[in-house]
Amino acid sequence: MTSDVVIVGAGPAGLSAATVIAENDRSVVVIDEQPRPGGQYYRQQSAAVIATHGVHRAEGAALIERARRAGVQFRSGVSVWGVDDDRRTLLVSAADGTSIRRHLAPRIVVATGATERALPFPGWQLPAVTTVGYAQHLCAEGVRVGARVLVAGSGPFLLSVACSLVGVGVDVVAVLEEGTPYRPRAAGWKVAGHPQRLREFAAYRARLAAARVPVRSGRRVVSAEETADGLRVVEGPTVGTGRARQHTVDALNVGFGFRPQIDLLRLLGCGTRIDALSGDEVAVVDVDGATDLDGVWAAGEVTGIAGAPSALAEGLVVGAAVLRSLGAPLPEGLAAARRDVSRARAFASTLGRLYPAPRDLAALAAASLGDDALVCRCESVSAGQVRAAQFGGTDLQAVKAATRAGMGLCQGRECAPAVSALCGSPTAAFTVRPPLRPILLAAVAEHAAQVI
Amino acid sequence: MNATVQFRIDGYEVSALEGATLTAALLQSGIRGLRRDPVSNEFRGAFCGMGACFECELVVDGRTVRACLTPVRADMDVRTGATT
Amino acid sequence: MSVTADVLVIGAGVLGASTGFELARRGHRVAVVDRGSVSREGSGTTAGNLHVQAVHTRRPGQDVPLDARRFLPLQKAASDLWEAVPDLLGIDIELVRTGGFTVAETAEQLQELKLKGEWEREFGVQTVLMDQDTVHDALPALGPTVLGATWCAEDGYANPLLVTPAYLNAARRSGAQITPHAPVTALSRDHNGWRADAGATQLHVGAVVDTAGPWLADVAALAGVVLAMAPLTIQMHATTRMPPLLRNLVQHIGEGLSIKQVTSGTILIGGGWPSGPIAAGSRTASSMASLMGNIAQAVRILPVLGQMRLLRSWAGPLAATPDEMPVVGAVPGLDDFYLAGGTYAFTFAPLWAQTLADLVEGKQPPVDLSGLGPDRLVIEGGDHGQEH
Repeated sequence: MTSDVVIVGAGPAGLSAATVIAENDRSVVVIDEQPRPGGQYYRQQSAAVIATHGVHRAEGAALIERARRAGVQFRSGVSVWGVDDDRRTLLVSAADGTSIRRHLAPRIVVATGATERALPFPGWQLPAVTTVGYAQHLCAEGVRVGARVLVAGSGPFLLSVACSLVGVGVDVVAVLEEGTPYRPRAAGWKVAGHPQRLREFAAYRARLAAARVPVRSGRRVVSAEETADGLRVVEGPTVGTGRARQHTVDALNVGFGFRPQIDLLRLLGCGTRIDALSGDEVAVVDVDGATDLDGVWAAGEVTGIAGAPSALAEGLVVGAAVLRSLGAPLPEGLAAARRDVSRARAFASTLGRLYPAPRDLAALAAASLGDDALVCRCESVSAGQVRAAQFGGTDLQAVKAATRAGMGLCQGRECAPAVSALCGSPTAAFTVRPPLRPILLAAVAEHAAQVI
Repeated sequence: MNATVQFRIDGYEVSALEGATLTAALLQSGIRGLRRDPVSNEFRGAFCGMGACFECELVVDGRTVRACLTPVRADMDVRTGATT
Repeated sequence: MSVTADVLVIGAGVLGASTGFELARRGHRVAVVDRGSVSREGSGTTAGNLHVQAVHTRRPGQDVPLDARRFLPLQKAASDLWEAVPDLLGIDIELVRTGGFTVAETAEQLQELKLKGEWEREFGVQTVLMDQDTVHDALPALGPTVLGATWCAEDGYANPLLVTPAYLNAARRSGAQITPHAPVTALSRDHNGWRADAGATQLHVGAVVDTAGPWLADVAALAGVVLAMAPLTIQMHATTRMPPLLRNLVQHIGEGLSIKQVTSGTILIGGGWPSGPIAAGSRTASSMASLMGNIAQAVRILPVLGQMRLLRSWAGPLAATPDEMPVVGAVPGLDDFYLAGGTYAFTFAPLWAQTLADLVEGKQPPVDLSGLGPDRLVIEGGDHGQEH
């Protein structure tokens, strides 16, 4: 399969880039792992679900429709699991690891977005504990993650999800925020420079207040355990001593912000840097979103977490750069998009300063863990085992080798921040290698017979 | 158009909206534990809900899939509790 | 900081760890240093096989075949030593000796099996030659292209991620000092021995043992000897955890291939397929061509693997010599300087540990080392560090 451009990721950045490129008459294929385009932010439901529960984020549906009309070809429900040795051909499989196809394009836009940062506490592996993002997806389908729910972690996303939960009739017993972002301070005043975003934020708080959902700052989950009555969650103060509280809920939803999903960029061989506040790996790009690799651009959360408004604008900027490389005229709205990117990034960075730095959250989670608590969910590696890794030092890969932490099904996506905090590693990024997703050996063998 | 489809979870007939996320349909049937962890043998369930953590793996029509990426289809055969 | 020791071991991979342990338990004051983390490069990325029956002679892409007959007495001696290793180390290193098949798919390869059988008998390695029916009865999972195999009950494997740390712990218990992240940057003669700069530490030692794996020649160059060695990289592939389905090691007489299911349930597939250019600290890139080639071959030999899922791949370096044979012995022209390395270092680890300890003590080593010494690799007239 060939096209002028292949875009990986059908979220705000990928959609926006694809649309501008297709509207200027260049062929675009968008590859995405989810069953339907939209990514996580503009996640779209099936026709039957929409008929019953209505459209979730109508502006996303409109953007997808516009992209389709412009001729964007979507390949949904497929995973990029590897890159061939030409560092250009994407190897794509069905989501269940069968049937490999190749996508070769002279221009690649990586818009793979982000995953939620998870941090461990005793009981975080229980089925009644999920990320806040997943709880919100369920809301969009009209499904409640539980009748009684506790929301905990850190970041503004907790408020947004708590509102969605309230909207589908969930009894949200509390929102626990590890930091203390909602007290006035110097950084807070800078947020006032973004009135629209501030209104959005104020609306969340007003809605939670109206629903009598307490938002408690400086509080965190101490532990969760399954009981006959439901999930028993103990909350306590983030620092110092304070009263512990106990909740019995159907579900606990946790979130600690987002991490760029850079693994495809790494397989392509693009340059990355380590973000000091999070320890996460971030794509290195120029003002047009170009990576250090000719013909490869990155847009959206992979270039640093800044939210959907930034991703949309970055998609347009990258789309324009790709069009220029194809000899097409510059699209309209480029200057505005550049301004939107810098405004959105400035807002994200100001907002970020209100909350604890991800590395500090990870360090606190790590320091709070008893030796028996699970750190690596996939390989059942405990905090004690990581601490006992005698020769690992602060070398994350050596600790992985010594403990098996990060060797399991998720390939360290979930445990990297905590393992890195436990061993004092300067980076929270394991080495990226193929396959990015498990792949059926028969499919590899069949493909090898065709290409070798 | 009949938006509801019938399918099987561990041999039991259930119904859900066509194209709903399988984890959502399972949750509506009261099922949170989806796979068994091969080391601890504990049940695990959907955690990230976006295909990154693999905790929601189960077997659909004989293939191991992530339930959070799987839309409900008529007559699909879903088996939970596999060790993956 | 200044440290005095009897022996400095450079490189904390499996050879450095086992040699450090052997010397320490014989009562020597030992310092083991590594440029990075311990067990991190070749020893942390090897398949961990214990090869007892004669090995196949060419990795994919390998120009010069190794001398499999010359290997056999070394394999036999190493195999005998491995028996005692778990007790010596005092922990479970997941060592199993459940036997291995070396399969053949062509008439020519069947001839090779016969020839290697003669060598094995000559050196006392017990193997059984199996025809097509017998081998398919013995391992029904084998694919239809397999025409025969040799079976060796002593083939096995251990977990390399456990073995090297266990050796280092045992060495430490015997008094050895282990210092990771201390790259050796200078080596010079020092009245009765050697002076070494290793990270922030200056060492004064009686003898130097170079077990730096891929950087073996770089270390020798610091002492003024240029060796014709260049590191290679190879890669491994691993499936998700599976219930027990394969008890034995499966190899191929004509191609680079090894398949086994390890204690975790993961099936490991390797065979020396090349990966990208060497880069320290797990940064060597995997090769997709090797991934596909190795997997295709594994599925052909054991079709049941087709329904397994590939979860991981990794790449690591291999110290290689131009003749593909190991290198072990005293370095000509240098007093009190010994080295060991080259291919199959994991299998040979307990043997090279004894050999190096014996050489340091001026004793007769346990095996005949003729043809394996560093002398064959010395580039005459090579100046100090010139190649590097």
